[in-house]
Amino acid sequence: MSDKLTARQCLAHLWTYLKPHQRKLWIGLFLSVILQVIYAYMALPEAEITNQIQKDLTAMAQGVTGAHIQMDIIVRILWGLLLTYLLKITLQFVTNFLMTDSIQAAVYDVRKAVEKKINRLPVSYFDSHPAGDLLSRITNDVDTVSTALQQTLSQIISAVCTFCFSMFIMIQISLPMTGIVLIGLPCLAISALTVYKKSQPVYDAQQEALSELSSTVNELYTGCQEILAYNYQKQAKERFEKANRTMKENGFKAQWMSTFVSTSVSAVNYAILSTCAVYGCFQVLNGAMMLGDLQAFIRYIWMVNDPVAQIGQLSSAIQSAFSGMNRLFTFLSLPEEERTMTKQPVTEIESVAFEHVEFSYHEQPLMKDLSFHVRSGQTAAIVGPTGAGKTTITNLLLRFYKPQSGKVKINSTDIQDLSFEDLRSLYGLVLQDPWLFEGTVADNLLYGCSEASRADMVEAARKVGVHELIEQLPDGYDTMISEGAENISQGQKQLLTIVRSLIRDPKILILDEATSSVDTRIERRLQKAMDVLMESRTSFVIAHRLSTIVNADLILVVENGDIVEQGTHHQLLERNGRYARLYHSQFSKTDSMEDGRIQ
Amino acid sequence: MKSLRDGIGYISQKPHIFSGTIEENIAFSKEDASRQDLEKAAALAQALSFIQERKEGFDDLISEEGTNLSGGQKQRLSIARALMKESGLYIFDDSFSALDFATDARLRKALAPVMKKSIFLIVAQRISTIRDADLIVVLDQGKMAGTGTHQELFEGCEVYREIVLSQMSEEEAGSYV
Repeated sequence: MSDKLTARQCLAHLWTYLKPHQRKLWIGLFLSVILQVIYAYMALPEAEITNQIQKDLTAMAQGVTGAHIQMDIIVRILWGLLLTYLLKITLQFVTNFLMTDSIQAAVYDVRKAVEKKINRLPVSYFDSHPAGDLLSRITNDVDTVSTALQQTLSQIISAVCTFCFSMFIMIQISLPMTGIVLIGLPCLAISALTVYKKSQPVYDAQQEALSELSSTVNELYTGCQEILAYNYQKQAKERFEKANRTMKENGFKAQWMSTFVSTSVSAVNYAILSTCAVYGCFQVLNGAMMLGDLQAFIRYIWMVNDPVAQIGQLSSAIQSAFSGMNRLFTFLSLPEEERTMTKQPVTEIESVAFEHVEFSYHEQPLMKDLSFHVRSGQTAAIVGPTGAGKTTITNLLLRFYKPQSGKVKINSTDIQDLSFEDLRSLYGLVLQDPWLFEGTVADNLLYGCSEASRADMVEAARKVGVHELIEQLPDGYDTMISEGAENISQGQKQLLTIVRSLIRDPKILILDEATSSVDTRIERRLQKAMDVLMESRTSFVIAHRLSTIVNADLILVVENGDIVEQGTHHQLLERNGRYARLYHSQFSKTDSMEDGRIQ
Repeated sequence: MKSLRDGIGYISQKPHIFSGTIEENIAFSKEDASRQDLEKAAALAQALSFIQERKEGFDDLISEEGTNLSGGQKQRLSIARALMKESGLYIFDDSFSALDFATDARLRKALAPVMKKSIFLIVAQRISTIRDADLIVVLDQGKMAGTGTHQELFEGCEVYREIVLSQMSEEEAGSYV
């Protein structure tokens, strides 16, 4: 997110989403202009009534014969007003309908574009941007844009229309009084803006104090065990007290400020009003102006002042809309994963190989020259300390990242020459944190393999010995798994992901720390299930526990990104090098561990 | 209650890391701790190297829930926190599970002298973590399935034997015993 988009670029992006729905939008905008004009116009017939009564009363006072209050004229004006109200309400409905319809359709398209974008971004983006942050930011930004279009846009239109139309009529009613208003308006705008700018930090401080308070409460609550075990109650209370006090002080300031804001803006507002009123009254008394016209004029002052007094809120709404659009559209124009077409499809695996692969995530080099060769059906175990680059090897196999030089080959094909779909359909993954989604067990098992039948699924479950376990669940294969799958154990989850992989029948398996987070007896069961899965498949296994690796056909010992040793368990033990040391450090007494510096 | 808890260094299964500096998190129970004490506890817990690699060292900020630390780093911080207490009884509830075996081994080696002075109650799944214990209690479905040393249990307790063999081969288990 280096370059910021200009406001014009933001609008251009926005327009591409609004364009398909522009007809409704334009009609809606046009109608809302008319609506504002009608709204502003309505002060005139109202003034007419007062004028009529004033005329009749003056005539009666002057003793004109037959002078009376002409109710028929007044009633006619009232009827006219009623019809105008009805027209206004109908128009309002139609306008809202059209605008909402087109804007929500555009926002829907934006969301769809975001979803598509997420699927096409390279994995490196997600590795460097936390998912939660990304999600909340995008949902927030889409919301901001939606509100801006829905509310801020119509606020601006109504402000501009009302202002222009009111000014036009005000000039016709009285030029000098319009002059007073025009002198007063900049004062109003300045005072509104100043007060708004002054008050904003106070409101921000209140928001911050509130979130500080809730995060303190949240943290003290989740850390409850530690607080009790370490007798930290006193300090915890103090922390809460402090957060609570800050909240109280900031809340008071914010409340006080909001009173101050409305009073100071009103003061300017009333100053303009009363000046006009006093001047207008003299005019009326002099007979230079009708009473109804003065009444209408004062209504117009309100209409003109209202949007000006809101100028602070409006400008910040526009600002936040633009910064939201900026982030959103920058995200939407991020470079996507390169799409490639498969030149020569891979049907059977003969070998998987790394040839002089050089790779690094950042500037620091990680892999300098990595080569290995795994034949069809073999199991390759990747061993090494945390951060050595074990997962990097699988990332490169899956083409989540591209090597800077060298090749990753399946048979004789460089995987860069396979499309993502073709390449990734070759793989089955079982990861450390089994991933299940909300849905039935069957939905989860058949994920990514819609063509498999229920019978296939049951057969796969039988094969890995999970069928009985699933049958024991309340609704068997139709048991609902909740989000985060808290209703089944970690080991069961992992067993399910193994069945899922088996149904997909992948050519190449990647098992990443698949057993490290379950209890050891389930682990044995998992191990058995994985043995079934690995049968006659080319597999890559990453594990901390060496005992799971002993039987591999090829062990790759990775350190600082490169392979320092490769061979079978016995070959490597004989070599008495790094692997032998790693192996002994796990299975011999701690005391005999001479080299403490394995990492 | 306070004096009971004062005497125990406890690490829960999912240790909570508070937002604040690393120092605040380790010196949780001892606000007046000196930098030397901190470094000693961190070194024992095998946390010193990663702490020193961080930008601000002990003053580096940890975000809420410790999201900017790995699982193993969080465990090591919480171990350092417990060690700061210098109490006579330590309870470690599955506190080594996120460590890779090399760190695990180094940690146990470093803890050995401390272990001689105090009572350690360790809850664990990995046999390697507890095989040197003076007394191992095997629990199965809430019931006690056996007590004894590694060797006694390996020979006499079916459940324990099963667990051991799920983690290492007979030969390895035997060679160790």
